[in-house]
Amino acid sequence: MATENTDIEQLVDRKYRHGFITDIESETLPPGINEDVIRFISDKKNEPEFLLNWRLKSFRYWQTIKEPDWAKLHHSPIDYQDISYFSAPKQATDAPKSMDEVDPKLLETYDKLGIPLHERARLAGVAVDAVFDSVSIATTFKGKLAEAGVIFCPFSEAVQDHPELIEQYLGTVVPYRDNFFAALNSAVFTDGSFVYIPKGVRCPMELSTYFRINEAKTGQFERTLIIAEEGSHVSYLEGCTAPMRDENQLHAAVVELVTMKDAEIKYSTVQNWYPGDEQGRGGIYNFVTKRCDCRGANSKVSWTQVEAGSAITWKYPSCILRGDNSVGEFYSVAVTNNLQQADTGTKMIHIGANTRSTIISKGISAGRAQQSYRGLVKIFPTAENARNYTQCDSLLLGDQCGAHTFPYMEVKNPTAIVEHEATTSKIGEDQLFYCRQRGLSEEDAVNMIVNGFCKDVFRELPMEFAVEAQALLNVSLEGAVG
Amino acid sequence: MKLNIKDLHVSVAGTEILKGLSLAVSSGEVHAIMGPNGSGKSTLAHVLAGREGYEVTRGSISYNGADLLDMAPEERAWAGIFLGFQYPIEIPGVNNTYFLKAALNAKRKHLGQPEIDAIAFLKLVREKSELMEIDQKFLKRSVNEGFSGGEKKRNEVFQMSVLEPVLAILDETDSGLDIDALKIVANGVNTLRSDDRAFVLITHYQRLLDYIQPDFVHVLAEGKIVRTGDKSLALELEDQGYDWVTTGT
Amino acid sequence: MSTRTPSTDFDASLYRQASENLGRKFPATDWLSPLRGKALARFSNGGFPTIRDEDWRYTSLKRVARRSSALLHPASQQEQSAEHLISSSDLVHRILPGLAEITMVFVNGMYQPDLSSAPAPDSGLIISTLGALKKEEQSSLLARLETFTGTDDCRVNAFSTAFLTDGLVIDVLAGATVSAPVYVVFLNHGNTVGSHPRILMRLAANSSASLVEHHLSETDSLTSGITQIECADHASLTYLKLQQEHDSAFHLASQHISLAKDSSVQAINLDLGAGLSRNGLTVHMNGEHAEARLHGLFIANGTSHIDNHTLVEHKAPNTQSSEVYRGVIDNRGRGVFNGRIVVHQKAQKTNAQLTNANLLLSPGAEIDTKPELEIYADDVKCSHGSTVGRIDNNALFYLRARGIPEDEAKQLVIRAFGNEIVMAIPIPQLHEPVTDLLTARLEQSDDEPGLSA
Repeated sequence: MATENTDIEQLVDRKYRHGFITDIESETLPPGINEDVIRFISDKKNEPEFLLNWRLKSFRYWQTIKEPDWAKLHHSPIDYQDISYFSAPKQATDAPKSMDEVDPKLLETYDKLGIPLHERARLAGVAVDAVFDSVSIATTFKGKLAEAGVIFCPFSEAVQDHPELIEQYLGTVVPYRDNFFAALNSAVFTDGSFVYIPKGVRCPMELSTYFRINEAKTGQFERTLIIAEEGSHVSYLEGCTAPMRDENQLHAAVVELVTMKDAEIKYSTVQNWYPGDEQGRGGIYNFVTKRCDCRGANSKVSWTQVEAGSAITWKYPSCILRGDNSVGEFYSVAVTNNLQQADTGTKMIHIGANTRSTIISKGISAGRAQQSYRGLVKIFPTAENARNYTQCDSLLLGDQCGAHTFPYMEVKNPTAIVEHEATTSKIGEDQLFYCRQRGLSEEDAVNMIVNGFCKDVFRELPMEFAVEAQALLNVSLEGAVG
Repeated sequence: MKLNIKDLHVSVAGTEILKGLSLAVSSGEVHAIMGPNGSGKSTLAHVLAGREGYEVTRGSISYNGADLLDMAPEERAWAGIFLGFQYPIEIPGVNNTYFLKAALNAKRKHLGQPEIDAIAFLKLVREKSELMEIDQKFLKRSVNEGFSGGEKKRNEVFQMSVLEPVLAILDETDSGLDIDALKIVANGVNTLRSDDRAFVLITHYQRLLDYIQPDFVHVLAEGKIVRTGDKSLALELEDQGYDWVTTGT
Repeated sequence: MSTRTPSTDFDASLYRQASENLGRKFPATDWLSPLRGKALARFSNGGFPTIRDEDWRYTSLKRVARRSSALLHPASQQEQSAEHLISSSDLVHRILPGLAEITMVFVNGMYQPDLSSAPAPDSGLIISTLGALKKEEQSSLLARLETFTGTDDCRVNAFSTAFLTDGLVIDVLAGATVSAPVYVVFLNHGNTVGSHPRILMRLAANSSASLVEHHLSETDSLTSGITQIECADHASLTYLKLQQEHDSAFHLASQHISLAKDSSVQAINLDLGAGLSRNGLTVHMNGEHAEARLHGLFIANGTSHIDNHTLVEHKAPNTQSSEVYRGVIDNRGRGVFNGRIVVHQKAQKTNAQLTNANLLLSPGAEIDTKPELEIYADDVKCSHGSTVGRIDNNALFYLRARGIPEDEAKQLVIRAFGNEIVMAIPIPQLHEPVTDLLTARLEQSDDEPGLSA
């Protein structure tokens, strides 16, 4: 049975499998941040003036504010002057026109990660954008998507080809003043993915982006923008890995989603950044702002996340349910082990009438890890008949770890119904005994029970991504039989 | 198969429950263990399966010559011991069929056999589920989750039929069953009866024994077997209650 | 936890003057002056908390801060006499019937022997007031009062201590079973009064006793009281706090209950009044097998702002807590609930449950609720749940189908929702009178805010 169900075992007691370093020559800025660095990045990407100005405004604002300290996270201070804000593999040409021009070492890197970018070996039915340190190195199936009118390209390419869309939407969901890390990202972001689904189009394939941090002493600051026009539909997945290094590296991303009337975005994340070693050395500091603005009536967004990596995770994918009847969903599995810390959850902001939201959060804490669920459900006076249901469950493996739950509910409409339930416990001894009586080893029994515990979230991951999710995280969707 | 329990004393949280129980079971035999509530019937079942929290203070259990008390619960399962739980445990999110396949393969792996292939397994499951009149939809649900009391018990006997144990201990598998379910369960047990398999049926009522003919009936009272006889002993118990066998012990 | 953010309109000198005056005004408790001085220094470091403090994000004390210095000058002793009270106010008629055996009445923060009835000498109880303590008793008590203000970070507790003028010291003797509840009534009589009462209670080993704390006021007043209760091994405590302050009154209170091995508490908190009320209840489960059962009900109607913060600290193994709080929020009222459970690493085999259910009845009403679990031990069973909803339409329809008019049916359902908490009071003779108080409070919902007395 072990073949099918080792995922959690490997999550909880894992040897990090993506910790290799790609030996590639890179162009890397020396550490430090100032207006010149921002001008350099903007110039490097040949950006229009509005974007440079926006970056500078963000930077100036960022300098006036402090890191947030309300999360239940502890880490040594981050020296923002000791991080390099730009690193890109050197290429023969500035931007590879076809896969043949991409450095074979990069292609090999993605092969090793289980994400072949070659024409022949490509994942069927899935378009991939591969972001390596600060730049996107390849995007597959662009032509096929263009036929449907779908734009799927690196963010920096969208700035060149569709500046009007960027100017119209950038920063409208997550303004640069939103928080410390969003402001930093707005100042120094380098690349990411851009998706535009035109009116009435159901994106013909799954879209995905793989983020890889490779270079030492660099931060990754990607920016993703997805716009789903009226009546459109798209499913998007991101995966993240990084080499094993003794130092902490910063990842501060911003993801902005916009759904118009009757549009739907399904956004899935398999986050497996390097978590640090057993003594808590190294690992990625993952400070991410993700938000969807459901602008149109009957629009829907669904966030599914499997958070397994990172030394520190600070992440609250949110839904602004502005359109009447709009729907927000958040499904999360977070696994922390050793000295990992995660403070993660969601915000459901109900503004429109009949808006509905569902939150399912499953936390597994092991070793000396500390994990918190933090969520906000806010019902505005305008949100007639709004509904929220929240279920947060935590499982503790070992007596040195912690699991914490901090849900905020703010309700200002008497027709709303908001329900929150949370439980914390260890694995049931009777369940373990039952499994062992049937012949399962204790380890297999634990794996099986933990998998069952996460099932409500795992089944939300798109089937098309099952293979990749396994490759990235070695997580199977449990229960292949039956 | 030979199970030999000698002078077994077992305490739970400092209270002695079994106080010198002896019992021998061999292949081909069906033993019924009856007794009033609190006599130690379930304790015996749990000790045989290796549940934690039961302290053996004296006595021994040998199983095919090996010391059963030295074996982990899963090792006992691999050696053919099956416990039908009085209160089968729910495991949310774990598919019933998947669970069974994992259990079967764990045992096969231990025996050095290859994993069962998907087609053979599905065939086996279909065959056994028909025998136990298990609705296919239950196979797709999580282990015991949302099952009624009777469905859980049928699921236990269904699992037993797939795992084909050498020694099956059924702990009050008859309780909470209506007459139709009882017949199905009994039919399942009778079908599995063979010369190389033994059953220990733990029950409060003799009703089950109308459908499964035991070779031996033991009366357990205050931690000991106080009386052993054949089927007629069960009928006497039914008539006169437990008092007449337990008085004076 | 909370970072200190100074209030902008804070003038420390006003508070200093008022605190220093107390010694002169009330010579009997002049021995408290050093304690008051220290607490004042603590409070002066920033004044009242602001909504930038996480623990106060939903409750602004701006209104209190603006009024508090005016409310700090308690009237002199003569004006607070029982005679004056009886002739000029109906407050005394609101004292609950059925608890007459041991009644301790305070008016504007000062003990009133004429209105009180002390326990019989053989009751197993020793009760004295801070003003009547012998000199040799004062120093040990000072230590107890100080331990508390020294370890507690909350500036509101420091505020209360800085203006402490009187209070009760209750000792339940070892092995005593005191059947009659100790009924303590705090009346704020007249306009513009402030009181800062303290109750210090100790239950010795194997004893059991009940404490009922009742707050009543007439108009513009401020109560900031602290209740400290220690239960020794195998002690058993019943505690009811009933807050019925005036719609323009401020009520800032905290209770700190510590439980030793095998001791237990059953606490009920009822908020049926006040313009702004904040109640902080902390239970320290220090000994193995300690048990706490907590209930609460708050009615925020008119323009009331009712905030309840509870904290249960599981510090020893095999401890159990259960907590049920309910809120009814109507008109332009606002309810705040924060229920925190902390399970420390050595508190294995903890069982902790909390539920908070709220009824939101009108478009101007608001509820902010935040249950919290902080778990550092693994062998635990902890859960919490919070709900916000409206009246169950099915229940309403059922009642209407039986011929009950809609309005009446609504009232019936709301009353039933609150009454389940009232029925949890383990002092049966209080069920009827408290149910009546609840009904009366709920009926005020229909009135214009501020007009109900």
